[in-house]
Parts: sequence; structure tokens; C-alpha cells
Amino acid sequence: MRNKKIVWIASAILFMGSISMPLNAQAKQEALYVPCEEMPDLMTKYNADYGSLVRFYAPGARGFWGRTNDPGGSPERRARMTKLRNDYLAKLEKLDFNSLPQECKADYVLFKRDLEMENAEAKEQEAVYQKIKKWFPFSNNIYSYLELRRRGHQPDATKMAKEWNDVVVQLKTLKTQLEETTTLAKDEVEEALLVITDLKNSAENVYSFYNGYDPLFTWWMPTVYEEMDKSFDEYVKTFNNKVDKGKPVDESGIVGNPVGREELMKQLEYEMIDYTPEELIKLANEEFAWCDAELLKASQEMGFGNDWQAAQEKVKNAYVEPGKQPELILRLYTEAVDFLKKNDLITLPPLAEEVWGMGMMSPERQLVNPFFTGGSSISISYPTDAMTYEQRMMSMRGNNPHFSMATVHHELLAGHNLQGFMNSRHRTYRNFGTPFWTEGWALYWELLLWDKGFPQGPEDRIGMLFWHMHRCARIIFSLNYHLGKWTPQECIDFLVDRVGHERANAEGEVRRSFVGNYPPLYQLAYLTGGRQFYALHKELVDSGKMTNKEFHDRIITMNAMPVEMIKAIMTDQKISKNYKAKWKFYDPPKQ
Amino acid sequence: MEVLRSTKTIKMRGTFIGALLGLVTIASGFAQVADFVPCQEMPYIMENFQADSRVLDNFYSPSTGSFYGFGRRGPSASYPEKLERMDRLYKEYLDKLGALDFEALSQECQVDYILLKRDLNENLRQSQVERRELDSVAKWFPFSDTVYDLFKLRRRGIQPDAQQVAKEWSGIFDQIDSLKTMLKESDDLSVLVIRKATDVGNGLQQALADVHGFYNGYDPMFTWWTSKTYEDLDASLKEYTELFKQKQTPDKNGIVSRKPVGREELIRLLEYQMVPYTPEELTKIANEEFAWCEKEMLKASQELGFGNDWKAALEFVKETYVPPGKQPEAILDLYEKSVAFLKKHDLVTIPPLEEEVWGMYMMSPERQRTNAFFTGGTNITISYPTNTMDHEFKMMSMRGNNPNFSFATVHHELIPGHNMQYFMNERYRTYRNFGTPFWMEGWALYWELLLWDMDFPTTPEEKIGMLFWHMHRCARIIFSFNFHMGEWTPQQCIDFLVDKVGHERINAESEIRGPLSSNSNPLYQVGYLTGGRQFYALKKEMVDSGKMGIKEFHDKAIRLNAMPMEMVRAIITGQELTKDFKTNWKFYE
Repeated sequence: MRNKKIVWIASAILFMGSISMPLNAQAKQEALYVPCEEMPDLMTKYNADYGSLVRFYAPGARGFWGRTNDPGGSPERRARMTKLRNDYLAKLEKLDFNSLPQECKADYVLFKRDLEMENAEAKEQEAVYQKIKKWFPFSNNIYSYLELRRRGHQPDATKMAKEWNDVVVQLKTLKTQLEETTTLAKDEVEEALLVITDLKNSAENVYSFYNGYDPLFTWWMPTVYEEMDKSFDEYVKTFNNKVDKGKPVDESGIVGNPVGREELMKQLEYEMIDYTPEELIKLANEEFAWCDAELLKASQEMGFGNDWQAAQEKVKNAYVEPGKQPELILRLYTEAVDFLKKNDLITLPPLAEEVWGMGMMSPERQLVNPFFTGGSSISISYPTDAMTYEQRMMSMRGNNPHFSMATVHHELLAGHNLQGFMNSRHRTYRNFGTPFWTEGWALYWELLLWDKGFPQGPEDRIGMLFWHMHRCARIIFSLNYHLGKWTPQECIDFLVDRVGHERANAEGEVRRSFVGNYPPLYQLAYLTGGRQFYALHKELVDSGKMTNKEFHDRIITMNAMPVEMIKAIMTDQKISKNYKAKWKFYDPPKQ
Repeated sequence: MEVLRSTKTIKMRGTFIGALLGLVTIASGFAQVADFVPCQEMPYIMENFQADSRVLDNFYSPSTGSFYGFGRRGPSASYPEKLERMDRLYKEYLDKLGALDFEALSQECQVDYILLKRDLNENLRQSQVERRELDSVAKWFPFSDTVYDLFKLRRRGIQPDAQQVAKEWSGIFDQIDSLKTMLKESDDLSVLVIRKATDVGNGLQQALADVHGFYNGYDPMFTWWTSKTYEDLDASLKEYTELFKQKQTPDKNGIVSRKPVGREELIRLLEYQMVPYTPEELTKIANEEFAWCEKEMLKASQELGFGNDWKAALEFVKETYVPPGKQPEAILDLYEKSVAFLKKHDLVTIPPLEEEVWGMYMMSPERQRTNAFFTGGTNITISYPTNTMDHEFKMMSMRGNNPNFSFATVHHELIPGHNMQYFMNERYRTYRNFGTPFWMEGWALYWELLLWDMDFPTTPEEKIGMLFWHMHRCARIIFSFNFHMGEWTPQQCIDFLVDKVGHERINAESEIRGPLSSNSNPLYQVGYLTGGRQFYALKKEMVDSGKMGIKEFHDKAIRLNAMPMEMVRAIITGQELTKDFKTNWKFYE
């Protein structure tokens, strides 16, 4: 109640312009405080409870908590974590949703969404576990001792030696059976391997608790334990042979795992993106067409006619000499910050300007990161004397000043550096991080700065367009791949032919996207999230309801969440408990 | 940022809070309004201060280890530019506090205000101390500015003049050569100078490594000019720093003693902890309490048939250890007994989750060398022998961890002691970071006092166990102050623990090795009984007087997060506070 009113006052002041300075300053300050008490309190306690339970029910001993980031773990922990989530869903249910201020309604919706999503995942995991359970009929020979061990009960060592030896005996038979079985599904093998890890960790945990301290245990158990541990390692090998590893579908050699349309739809719904994969591909293609047209304009200005690749080649060769790159980055940083200030786009805390860090990326990391990365520090990719000639040239060409001018601000201010800076100071209880917010916001600034005339001359525009096309391409290739329409090789060719990537970089990009730990929607989050912020900007700033600075200052002090929730908060849109995404945010850019 | 506000708005906010309070309680009964933060201004300012301190410390510290975005870790060396910058931060936050309307804050937030202000001023004072210490070793590091100037350029990636850098570094190398000769000849270096010089040497090594790592390989001229020079300089500086360390020799117990901080510093530290007593007064209290313990010891000794020879009784109790393999169950049994006792007397609300998740581990033989008794917190870690320990070590471990000694401290480590403290601090007033041993150890020790009063121990053996620990806490006050006032050597402290408390000699050595050699808080060991007596006095004031139920009292105190005890008292008694609060609580009778 209280906060709703304050937010209302604050918004009123923001919308109508300042009534009087002190009141304005005060309202601004109050807008930085948490928007209610119930949700921060509930979420803080949930996180603490979650941590306590994960720690306690971890199969491994201290320091080896096993699967801490998934909603399940061992069957016992899976059940306990589900109970925790249900307890908190019940607590949410008891809250009077309608009396919460708008922003806390968003917290409610998102917190509930996350609890429900993790429950669903635990259920899926349980289903897979049920399918492979028959390969672990002896689980209880280990887990029952883990349960006793957690409260320090002394085991009957004679009996225990027999029971763990039984595991060894059973594993022998099971291993033969497993070898004779036809292949298992990939998710079944993955789960089985996790189950073995849990069992091994549990056994080690039990063993190290008693061994050496308990004389009878110390006499009976060491050889039995070691044999059991070895048998598990053998079992792992057998399971690994069972998986249909999949063959590379083409000459790229990349073996990934297209998740399919249904999964994509589910994840888009979770991210509150009310578009189908096909619609997003269409969107990206429209945007790509705009980039193409702009690219030709720039190419013509540079005297290369329609041969944009030649123009891009010239831009790539504008790299600075080795030793000069850090100063170049500093210059680009300064130019970007000056531009933000000159156009009064956002409040930059002086401390943020003071403390961003700069480091050089090691040659090893450069193998997977051809371009600089950012965050609390910018990590610069540029060649060392230890790299081959080709690597050096590729690194310098890829990190030329015009390419970099498009992204230094993306990594630093007002991009990732500012995001991290603000998130550790405002609404710190929130943990709804998503690439649609993180990458979307940083990319949005590329779109906005283009509109505001940040690029100087055709070379800069080619630099910015390179990245813009790259983000379009990420939507197109990652969705086509996950829909099962494109092979990895087709994705690589697309990046080389259409975006102008060096082939090695394109391969790295595709490999990272499908083999690494990127969630399927990560690559499409840049432009999609960026376009959401862009549409919101249009709705609130271009319409004259807010100034640029008010708009950006408000967003960046709310911490991460799906952009549609930011819109709901800022436009005071009605939020229901079971809010579903419905925002059609995309308008193709005008030629 | 302007944070002034009118009193009128505050009142409005108050009304809103009132309205909210009523609404929530009536509407759902679920939300515990008392769980909510007591205001918005202080949590906000404190979280921002913590975040600002972190990024500044990070930015002005050389990277240690390979660069990986979050590569800056570990203790960071101080140097003038960084000290100056941190001071600016502290002053900036003092200004922010100054702009807040203290009178308009809720009382609990006035406490936050007082404590944040106290910490900022203390940080400023510590910076001054640090500066003086840096000055005291300045003559050994005349090249310090040259190194940090370059580090400053490197932070923004400015390309250095490589030949000039090589020349400077080579010059430093030569300087260190002659300084080494000088150092070898000086035998009058104080402990303080030796330790500070080691820190400064390490810091300079880190700064050089950071600069070198940033340019080397990437910048052709830098790579050509400095590779060899850097390697030589790094090796020489390392050797030089080692030379300082070698200037300190351990005593016959293997203890490299720190410098006693002296009476003046002790008084300042006590004032910081809001304890208005002098070291002499606290020592007197500890002696009085020790005398009481001895009297009780004699009673128990007599009951056991050992007459006035309480050390023989103690010896008898030590022999009550359980056989190997049985200790975890013995601990569990003690845990269950103490929790049942707490519940039976309805002393404090114990969250069921907390009872579910406390962990139990066995302490490794290596850790047992410095931890003779179990330790607690999130987990209890049990000290008990393994087959790999020699016979003497085995027997000592079992004797020291007999069930009657452990009886006194399982609840200290678990519930309602440290485990509950951690559990609650993660969930309530999480923005507070005023942790102090007077609260942490005081609360846990207070329960030992309270449970004694409530006849938790029923046998003379259990009483002897509790008294052993009680005497130990008295002894900690006595030896800490005597050492830091320059009265006792480490050897005298050990003898005192053996003769007066009845410690095994090897345990006594491990007890004092830490506090008397590292630069830890000189008041840490004092915090137990002093903080415990503070809680005890507060309980008397609030509960024994009938103002509060005992459960209500404990539930309230444990949800405030850590802070000096006098501030816990201020909140619970609703004491009127001023910005410039000075400690004045005489809690001991």
C-alpha cells in the first residue's frame, strides 16, 4: 500500500516534471527502495532455505555438494526440494496478491513461475529416473547408510561390509545385462551417469565419515569400499558405450542436440516471449534485410558499390598496431560515455566510471573468445607473440576499431558493466536474471546509439552493422538448428556468407552455441530482448511520456527480469497472478 | 545525492506502515511484519556502501592469479593512493549519513545509523594507523611509488614507454641489492616493521606481476625490453621479502609472537565494541568469576569424593570418554538432550528446518592439531582420534572430548548457539554486517550460563564439564589482557592455562598459538564471557523483571542479526538514542 502510493507519487513527478526540487530528489530516492516488504522477505528466506537443504541433502561430503543447480539431485533430495517449493507456493497463495504494489505483483508472478518451472523439471527428471531405476536395485544399500551417517549413528560394520559387497556382486551381473541391452536414450544415459555420481559421492561421504575413526569399520570396510568404487567406474564405462552418441550430421563434425519446436515453445513461454520460433525467424530476416540495405549504402559511400564484402574487408584492415589496442579501447569507451552524457541519456554513477577494470585475454581464452568480453572488467582480445601468424592477423582484423566501437559500450557503460554495478545496489533480492534482459539491454543501446547518430562515417556504420547482422543471424541459425531444419554446417556457411565472419570464428560460434553450455534461447535473446526494450522506449519516450534519462534510470535500478514485466511495471499494466505474455513488440525498422 | 526529507513525509510513511501492518495481519496472518526490515534508508545505504567498498577494493588492488573477469582476489596490499580513495569513500558515506534525518528514523534504524557511523570513523582511524605503519617501513621500499605509478597507468591500459620501464625496474633491482646488505646487518627491527615490510613486499610483487602480465606478449616493445629485467626483479624482490620474514624467530613453543597492542589500543577497541570497561576492570571481573568457578568446582569435587582436589576430579571426568566409533552418537545424544531441554522450558522458537539441516562431520587429523575440541556453526565438526594418530594424541583427544566436557558445548555450537545464529542471520535483517565476537560468542556462551542456572547439568560430572569451560572463558580474558598489556609472555599464558584451568599442555599451546601470533582481533577471546555477561544482564533486566517472556526475549534478540550487545539492549528496551551515542552500560554485578 505504502509503496504503491510512493511509486505513484514518484511516477507522477517523473511524468509531469518536477514540482519542486527537494520533493523530486526525495521521490527519486524513495523509488530506489524495495517496492514492498513481503516479496523481498519471502525470496530472501527461500534462497536461504534452498541453500540449507541443498547443502544438507547433498550426496557428497562438504565441498562436493553434487548437483546443486538442478531442481532434483538424488531421489531423496528431489523429493525434499519439491516439498520446499510447494511450501513456498503455499506461502505465496496466502499472500494477498491484490494488495501488493505493482512491482511486487511482478515479483510474485516471477517467483511463482520459477517455483512451478522447477517443479515441472523435477517431475521430468523423476520420470527419466523411473525408466532407469532398474539398473540400480542396490541404491538403498548406500543411501540408507548416508541417512544414518548424517546424524552420526554408528553402523554395524559386519553387516555393512556384506551389503556393500552385495553391490559389487550385483554390479557384475547388471553390467553383463546392460552390455546385452540395446541402446538407451541419451537422457536415460545422462541420468544414469548422474545417479552413479550421486551414489559414488554418497558412498565416499559415508566412508570418510567413519573410516579411521571407528575401529570395526576401519577393519571391515576399506577393501570392500574400494572395490565397489572401482565397480562403479566400470559401470560408467558400460553406460557410456550404450549412448547413441549421434553421428555428426555433416562435415562440420559438430554433434549437438536440437531440442525441437515443443521445447522451444515452452522456453519462450517461460521467458515471456509471445512469439513462435517461425515468427522470430521472420522477424530476424526482416531486420537482416534492413541491415543489407544499410550495408550497401555504406559500401557505396566508401566507393565499393554493391560489393559490401570488399568494404567490410577494408574496415577489417583498419586495425591498430600491437601494443596500441588498450588505448584504443579506452578511447572508444571515452567516446561512448561522452556521447551518453552529451545526449543526456542516462545517469552514470561516477563510481562506475572509476572502477571498471581492464585486462588482456590470455591466448588460451582467445581460442574460444575471438572478441573482447565484458562485465565488471573488459577483457581485451588481441594477439601475443605466442600465437601463430594466422591467429594474430585474425585477431587484429576482427578487433578493428570500427567493429569495436559498436560493442565497447555494450560491454561497459551503459551495457554489462553498468548492469552488474546497478544490480548489486538496487532490488538486490531479485534473482530473475535472463539473457533477454542482460543481452537485450546491451544490444538495445546499439540500436539506440545508431538512431542517435553515434557512428561517424561509413566505416563505423559497417562495424555496427556487422554486429547487428550477427545478432539477426544468431536468431536465424540457432532456431533453424533447434527446429531440426539446418545442420551445423549450414549454420557456419550462413555466418560466413551472410555476415562476413572469418570461417574459424564462425565455426567457433556455432560449436559454442550447440555443444557448449548455452541454453537454446541464449543466442536469440540479444536482438529479441533488444527489440523489446526498443519498443518500450518508443512507447514511453518517443511518445513524450518520459525523457530518455528518466526511462533508462528507472529500468536500470529495477534489476533483471523479463522485459515484458518491466513494461508491465512501467506502464502500470494490469498484472494477474497467472500472467501470460501477450506483448507484440516488433515493428520492422524503416528503410 | 540529496537524501534530505521532511518530517511530514516520514509521518505519512509511518501511517502507511501502520496500515500495511494491520492489513497484512488481518488479511493473511502469514507475513511476519516483525521480520521485515525496520526502514528503507539504512538497508539501502548499507548495501550500497558494501557494494562500493567491494568494487573500490577490487579496482585498486593488483590482480592475483590469471585474469578472468573476477580475477582479483585475496588480501590486498594497501598503498597511499588506495588508502586515500577508501578514506574518500568513508567520508562520502559520513556525509550521506549527515544528510539523513536521524530523528525521523525508526529506533532500530537509528541503531544502524550509529553503528555505520561508528564503522566509518573506525575505518578512517585504521587508515591512519595503516599510514603510520607504511611510513615506518618506507625507507626499505624507496621504489614503491615508481611501481604503483605504473600500476595506475596499466589500469586504464595506457601504453608505457618500454625502455623507460626497463630502466626503472633495473634501477629498483640495484636498489634492492644494497638494501639487502643493509637489512642483513640490522638486528633491531621491531615485530611490527618486520610484518609490515613482508606485506608491502608481497604487495609490490603483485603490482609488478599485474603490470607485467598486462603488457608482456601483447606489446612488442614492452616484451622486448622488460622480459629479462622483470624476471630478475621479481626474483630479487621475493628474496628480499623473505629476508624480512627470517628476522623473526619463534620461541621454544614454536610461537612467533605478535606485538602486544598496549593499553591505549585496548581501550579504543573496547570503546568500539561498546564495552565501557577498562582492561583492568574486565580482568578483575574475570578473576572474580574464576573464583566463583573454583568454589563450584570444589563442591562438585567433594560430591565425587575427591575432597578439595578438584584437579583429581577433573582427571576423573576426563576418563569418562566413550570408545572410538561412539563419539558421533554421543554428540547426537547431547544435541537431543539440549534441544529437548530448550523445548521443555519453552526458551526459544526453533525453526523445524534448522533442526533438519545442521550437519555433522569428522575433523581431519591435520585440523585436529590446531582444534583440540569440536567446532560448530552450520556444521558440527567432531574432534576424535583416527588410527593414524599416535597413542598420546589419541588419548589426549578422547580425554578432552569426554561427554561431560562436550555436554557444555554441543548446544553452544549448534542450537541455540552458533548454528542458530548463522541460520537466523541468513534470514533476518540480512543487510546488517556488524558482526562481533561479543555477539557471536557472547550469545553462545550466555546459554551456558542460563542453562547452568536452570539446572541443565544434573550430575557432578556434568557440572565439572560446564565449569571447565566457564573457567576457560575467564582465563581467556585474563591471558588476553595480560599479554596485550605487555605483562605476560606467551609462555606465561600457557602455564596459566595448564595450572589454573587444568588444560592438557599441548591443548593450551594450540589455544594460544593463534591469538598470540596472528594479527587477529585482540578482543576475540574476551568476547565470550564479556558478551555472555551482557546478554545475561539484559535477560535479567527484561525477563527476570517480568517485562518480557523468556521465549519472546530470545526470539526477538536472535532475529536482529549481529551487533554490539549494548545496541541489542537499546532496541529491546526501546532506549532513546542520539546520533553521538556513547557506550555507558555497566552490565556486570
